[in-house]
Amino acid sequence: MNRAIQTKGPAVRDAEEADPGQRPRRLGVSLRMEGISKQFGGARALDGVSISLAPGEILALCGANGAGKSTLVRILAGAEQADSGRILLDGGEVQIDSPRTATELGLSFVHQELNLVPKFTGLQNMAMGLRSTRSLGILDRKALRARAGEVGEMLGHQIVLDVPVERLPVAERWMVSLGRGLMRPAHLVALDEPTASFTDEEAERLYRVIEQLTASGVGILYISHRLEEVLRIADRICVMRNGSVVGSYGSESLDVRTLTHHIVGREVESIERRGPAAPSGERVRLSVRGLGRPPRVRAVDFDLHEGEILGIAGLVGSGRTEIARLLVGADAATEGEMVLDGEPYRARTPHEAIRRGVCLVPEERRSQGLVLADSIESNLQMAAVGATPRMSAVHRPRASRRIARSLIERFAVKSRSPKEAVHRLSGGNQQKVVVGKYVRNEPSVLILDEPTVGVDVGARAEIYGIVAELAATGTSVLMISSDFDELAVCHRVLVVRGGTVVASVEGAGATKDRLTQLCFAHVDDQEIA
Amino acid sequence: MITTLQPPIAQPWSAHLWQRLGRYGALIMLATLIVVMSVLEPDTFATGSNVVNVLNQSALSAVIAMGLTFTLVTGEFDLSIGSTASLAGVIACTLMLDDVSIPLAILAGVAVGVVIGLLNGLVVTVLGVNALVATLGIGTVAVGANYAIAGGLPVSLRDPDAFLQISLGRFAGIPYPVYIMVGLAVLAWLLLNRTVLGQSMQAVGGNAVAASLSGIRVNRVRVIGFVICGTLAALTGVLLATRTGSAAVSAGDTYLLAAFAAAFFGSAVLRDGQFHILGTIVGVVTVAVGFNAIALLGMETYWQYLFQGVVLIVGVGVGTVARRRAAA
Repeated sequence: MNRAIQTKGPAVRDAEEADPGQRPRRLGVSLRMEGISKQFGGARALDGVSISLAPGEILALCGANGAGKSTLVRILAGAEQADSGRILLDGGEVQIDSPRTATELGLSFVHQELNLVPKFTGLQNMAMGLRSTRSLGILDRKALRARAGEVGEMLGHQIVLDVPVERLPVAERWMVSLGRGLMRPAHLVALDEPTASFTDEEAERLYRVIEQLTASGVGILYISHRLEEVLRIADRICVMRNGSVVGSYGSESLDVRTLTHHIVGREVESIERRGPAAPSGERVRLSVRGLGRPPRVRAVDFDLHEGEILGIAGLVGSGRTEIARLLVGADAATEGEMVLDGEPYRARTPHEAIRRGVCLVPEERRSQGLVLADSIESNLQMAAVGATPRMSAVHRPRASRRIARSLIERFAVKSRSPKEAVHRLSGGNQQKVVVGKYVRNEPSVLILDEPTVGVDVGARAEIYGIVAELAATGTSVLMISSDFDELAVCHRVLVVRGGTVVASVEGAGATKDRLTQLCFAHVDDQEIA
Repeated sequence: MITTLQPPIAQPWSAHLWQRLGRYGALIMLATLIVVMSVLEPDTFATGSNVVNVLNQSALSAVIAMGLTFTLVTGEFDLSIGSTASLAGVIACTLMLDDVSIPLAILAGVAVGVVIGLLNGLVVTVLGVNALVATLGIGTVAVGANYAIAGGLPVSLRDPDAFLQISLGRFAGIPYPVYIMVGLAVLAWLLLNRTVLGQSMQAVGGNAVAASLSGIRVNRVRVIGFVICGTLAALTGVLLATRTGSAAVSAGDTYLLAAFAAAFFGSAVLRDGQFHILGTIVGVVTVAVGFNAIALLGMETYWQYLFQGVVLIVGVGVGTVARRRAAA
């Protein structure tokens, strides 16, 4: 076989080959990336970036979306090639020209975009890229399953091995993805936004895994927008802005405020705690009674008022996304009744829901919210097109462009022109486009499912601003989030567990601790909705 | 505060060049062909009558390829168009042999396409069968129906003169099929670019999940795409019969691959790999100009196949490579 790895200087220790049952005694390698530059088309993604990571160290990469963190990791993973710069492992320069080379060097990656095969089961996904332990390329299923079990134990989470991952919720997929990265003993593990869709409890488990890994000498490269988490677990924090490293700090020397300042380059107001301040309207806009689609959702009751921002807190698998899908007809409810603005409301398809002014900003913006190859302009017109009852109606491109421009301006979408393809935008700006496409329809009920996952601090504050502004003008907002701090923007928070609403907490009482407790049923359910 | 519209970052000239090549490469190919032929054969190629001739040759392929473009835009495809065209021609001619009037026979032929398109659409959306299997299956059933009606023999009209006029007749020196092609092209362009239906189709082809959550009735849009495709395929079959006054059992077969070739070639014209009406027309015309050139240069017929295959690969290949280079 052709080995693409050329070592100069001290030899790099090979990662243990294949045998998934055995772990090497000594793990860990020191990494240096020097002067890495990368250009995409006209955009300079990385400009002479240098970082280093010692064995057993946790280095966090922080920065706004588009700062170049993911590109840097992709270069280390061999998924992209740097235009210039070098990578050294234990002092020896290596050429990482493919993901395979990176794996052979003992580098393990869990990417932001889940690189899983949707139709494969968890186990099949975890086995991908591993060498077979038997001859003739036959996979040793028993050994694989045993190793997968070990990895699951290490994660403190029973990874779902026998269900195609497309049928799993996002957080479960993350667990599979994470498990895959640990199937083969690794010297260095890079985690790109691993906890974005996790609740605190799930994140805690991950931290324990990271602790174990570092104790055995494995270096961790950690990318996250959750700054508290970064400050807590990282040894050092490297802040990137516009493709350059602007500073590297010991994590003890920082707090959230100073770190935010470094990332954004300006002060950002922290989330405003709304407290018990009343929503802008008294009237009930949407009344939901006994809504269900067993087994995932059953007997959901709540009222959503005019101008209210209502949060939904719940753990992964609690049914929070499923409830949202019933409200907009993405799945059909089999039981229960809804009343919207005094009229019976039965959403059998998203088309009916949108015509009644009920919109869902979906959980995964790239696969569910956007046509990535299309322009901002045509993405922004999609819900207006969808709400038009007569398909023979005339489409006016000029009017459409005018509206697109005004939305781009209103939401401060950073772009070169309305014709720019949305896949070129950063996560935060993409999310603004998805929100914008529904806002254009002037919805009466706007449902946001995890609106700020993978969105940087600055854009996050802007999205909260948009939500508050909509509520002030009478739109009712339903916001689902795993980030319980984020739910501070809500007037009221519903707690969802086991597919139903188990509690309703007024704004001031919706602290992170209280919501977490309610999610885990550690307290009695006093405030049933 | 935040600036909304940022000034364009200067792109390196190479990326710019590649982008241009990707979008205009296919057109440059067509232009080169025309210029070279005009120099080589100024007396036969670069004449008004030959231009009309080439357009007339393009007309039928253009009609069927435009129909196919609609299904491709919605992210599906249709392998039954060849059989649909054959069946429509046979049914129209059989009815005329039974003394049904010409307009009614044509209408019946086209109606066959509507029905086949509807079946294709329902099998794909309601049953959830993959378009490849569904349209292959329905297309094969159409072949069976065709044999049942015609017994595998060409159906020839006894007195075809009036029927032939549809292909042979001219207005202002230009044959009717050219008008039909241009008229349908304008309609198809308007439908795709200036109606809610057309915008819905493009959204469905771009991301069906996002389109659905945006309120677009994805299944309905797909069915309509199949119906338009079937209808235009059937129309092509009927027009084909007007050329000779007879319909052969497999007359439409060659149009299947020709239509796919034209549409895919066209996806590299002016766009980054999206199907569109103008592109499809350019694809059809490029092939027609090539065939015309091969005939005028006195080359053997097999060159036509070589040319069509190479044009498809080069046209789409250059576009793909160029896009990759422009992005790198």
